[in-house]
Amino acid sequence: MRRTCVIVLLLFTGSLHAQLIKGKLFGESEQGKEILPGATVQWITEGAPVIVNENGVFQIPAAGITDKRIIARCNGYLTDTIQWDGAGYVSILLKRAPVAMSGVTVTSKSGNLFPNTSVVQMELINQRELSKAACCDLAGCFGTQASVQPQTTNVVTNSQELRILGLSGVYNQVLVDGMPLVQGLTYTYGISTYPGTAVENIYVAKGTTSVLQGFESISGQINVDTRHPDESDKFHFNAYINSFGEKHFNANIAGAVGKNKKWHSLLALHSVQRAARTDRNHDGFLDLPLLTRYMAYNKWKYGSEKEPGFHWQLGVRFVNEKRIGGQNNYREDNDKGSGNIYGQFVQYNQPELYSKMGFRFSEKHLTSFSTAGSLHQQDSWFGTLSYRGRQTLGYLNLQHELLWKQHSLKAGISYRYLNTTEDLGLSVPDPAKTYIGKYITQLRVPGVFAENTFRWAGDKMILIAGARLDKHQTEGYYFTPRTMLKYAINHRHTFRASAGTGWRQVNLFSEQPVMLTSSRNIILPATLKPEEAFNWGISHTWRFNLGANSSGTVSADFYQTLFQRQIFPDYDADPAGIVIRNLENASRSNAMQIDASLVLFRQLEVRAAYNYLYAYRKEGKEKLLLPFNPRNRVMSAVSYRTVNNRWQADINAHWFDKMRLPDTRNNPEQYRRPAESEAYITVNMQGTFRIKSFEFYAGCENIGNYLQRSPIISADNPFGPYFDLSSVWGPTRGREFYAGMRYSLGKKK
Amino acid sequence: MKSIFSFLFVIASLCISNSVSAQSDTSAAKAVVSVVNLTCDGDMPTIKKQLLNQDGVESVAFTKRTGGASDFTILYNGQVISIEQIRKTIEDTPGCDDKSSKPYRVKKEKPAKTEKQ
Repeated sequence: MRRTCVIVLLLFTGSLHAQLIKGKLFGESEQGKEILPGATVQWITEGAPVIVNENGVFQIPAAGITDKRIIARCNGYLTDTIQWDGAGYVSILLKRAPVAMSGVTVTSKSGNLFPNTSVVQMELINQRELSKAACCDLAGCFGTQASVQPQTTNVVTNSQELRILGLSGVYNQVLVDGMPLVQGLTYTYGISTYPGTAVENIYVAKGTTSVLQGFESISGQINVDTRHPDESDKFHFNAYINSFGEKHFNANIAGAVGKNKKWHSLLALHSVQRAARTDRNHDGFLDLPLLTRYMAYNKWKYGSEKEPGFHWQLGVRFVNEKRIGGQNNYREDNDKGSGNIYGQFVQYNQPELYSKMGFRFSEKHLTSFSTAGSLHQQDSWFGTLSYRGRQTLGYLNLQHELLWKQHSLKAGISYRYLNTTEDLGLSVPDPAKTYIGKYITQLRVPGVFAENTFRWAGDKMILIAGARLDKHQTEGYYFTPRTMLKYAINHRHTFRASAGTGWRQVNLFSEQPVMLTSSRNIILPATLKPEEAFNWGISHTWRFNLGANSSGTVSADFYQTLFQRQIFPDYDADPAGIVIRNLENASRSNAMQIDASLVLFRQLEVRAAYNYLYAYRKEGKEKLLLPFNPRNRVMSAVSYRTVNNRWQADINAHWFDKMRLPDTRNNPEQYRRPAESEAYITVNMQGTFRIKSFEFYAGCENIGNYLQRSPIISADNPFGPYFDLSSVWGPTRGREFYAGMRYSLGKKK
Repeated sequence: MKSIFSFLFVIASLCISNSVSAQSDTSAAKAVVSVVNLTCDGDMPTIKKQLLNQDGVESVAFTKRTGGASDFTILYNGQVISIEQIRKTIEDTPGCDDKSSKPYRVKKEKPAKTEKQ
């Protein structure tokens, strides 16, 4: 009996001893190896993933494990499988993943993710995702996702906005490195001035977001995270040309600066050279504007906010752009303001600067001060209308962060400054256009804010509750409460919910540029008040693994936006005018998205998304659908790359349901358009070949050559009363081939 | 009666073995070392990072720099890394200002002890 007891004792002791394995996970680095906090280790066939802590340590239970292989995963490194030999301590070293020629480490999973750690429903578009298309500018970077819908706001100059939840782009907040630099006059063309090569990641958040960045975001937030000076390639070059003859050139140079190598700097240069004059649909108008752009961006970084002491990030950017569109024979040197040849000419200079500095006193205390400013000087012509815009933008934010227990509190003060002067004139006098004159728009908004992040049950439940109080210079105080909740039932299922308000001041002409092109008068019966809205939403994300090397995500969300006050250009009230009105409880948007993605053997990525959108405006008891919003929309994308990452093929398709169009029943027969658009599909494709430091890519957009017929109403008489650019709902360029080359020189040490 | 004793013996042994086993699995040695020749507030994070990149080092905490010195409290797995290796790691850490120098020195070692984490 005693012998039996001893044997049992030894067996149990042995098994108990092996129940918890401790280890460290490292990744290859220039210095040899470094810890990988946030990475995961997991038994190959069972058990939940264990997250590696901030010191690189993990503990994984081993009781009852039959297949003794551990899988270690970390973005940017090759996933590895290790046979456990029974030791109580395991050390794992992961190799770096192959580096794509774009100079970006290929992540181990799909580049288009719903980050599990985010409290809001957020979509991350990283460099791997951006490499699936030419991504010449920001508006072209959303081809493989369904949350953001680029929409043309003026077909002649090809200005675009990014829509979220079916609402105009003005209702989401576009941030650059967390700073609200795209605002007012910089909104019209601003998103096009960031080339994909200068972008590290794009974070798309739907619905209510943090109060820390301001009061504006209503439908969501798009944060453009520009290239990191301390992580970028030493040198990167990209050249691109499309079948219209438009050429893009980009060059990035990054490196450590100074004797002690404490500063890191990135210089990004970007240029677009104009296309050939093209009119494939023979309507007498150029299919795309002649665009010339020069951009220089210099970003500096010192230290890290995660470590004690001082850190600073500084960005300086300058943009010079010229857009020329209109009739084929329009020449900007002679025809600006001409009453015989219709054309649009936009030229602007835009210097901007931002700074984010902070001091971490300890692990619990961090104080940071952010400031940003920009100037915008624009001279333009829209037919016979001259438009001269000048804008000064300023932003200050002082914030302190306190970690208490497992929670964190951020509080501070902010100041927003905007001064816009818009001078409108006519080269050919027209007494019917009573809106001609000078407009001065100001924004002076001091504010206070506080936001607490509560963390419970080991971050299973996270609640962000925040509010801000801002004082508008004429409208008084605005209180903006917002809250976001994330609850992870387990590592597979995560629920999120959010609710909050937002408000914003309207900059009419920069946000509705197509109005300036209209032959109608613009009627402003009352002073425009800030727009206000409430948004709430829920979402569920389900992650699953299919064996060791395949995984999937299914996500579903629903968001509703209710406008308490909204500015609306009414084209129907007056046939000769556009009436701009403050509308109370004007419109509502219900948006649902179901998104499924699969990554098979780290080589094949398949994604499909469905969007349902019901956005309407109340007119009495009648609900009028908002124009240019398809009720149903489907996106699908497939990406395949070979094991050695040398070849890659990408294809994506977008199907758009019918959309309601502006009412043109009052026009003569030949200038009327249907009440609804056609349903249509566009398919895009790209192939990529990588060899050594080079990457060659070529593709075709809109393979089916789908074209909206006669997008410009009264194109034959652009100075007539029915000339109208506001009915553009589909592709106007047709099929577009492109090819390009990228060259990268090593990672920065 | 004999079987009851045997049963109780097994239970007691299991309890003991469980606690011993748990201790050996989750416990770590703790060492407090004083590092001198620190010239800026970036030195401590630099040393901490270097230590954490070593196998067996489970956590590192340091005190505020006073008179060019700071105390580092290190939890480590004594079966994987020794206190001598830890000291060598600190003294081999490149300087925060001048990467080619190795300015840090371990002034003294307070007696290491094993205690439950």
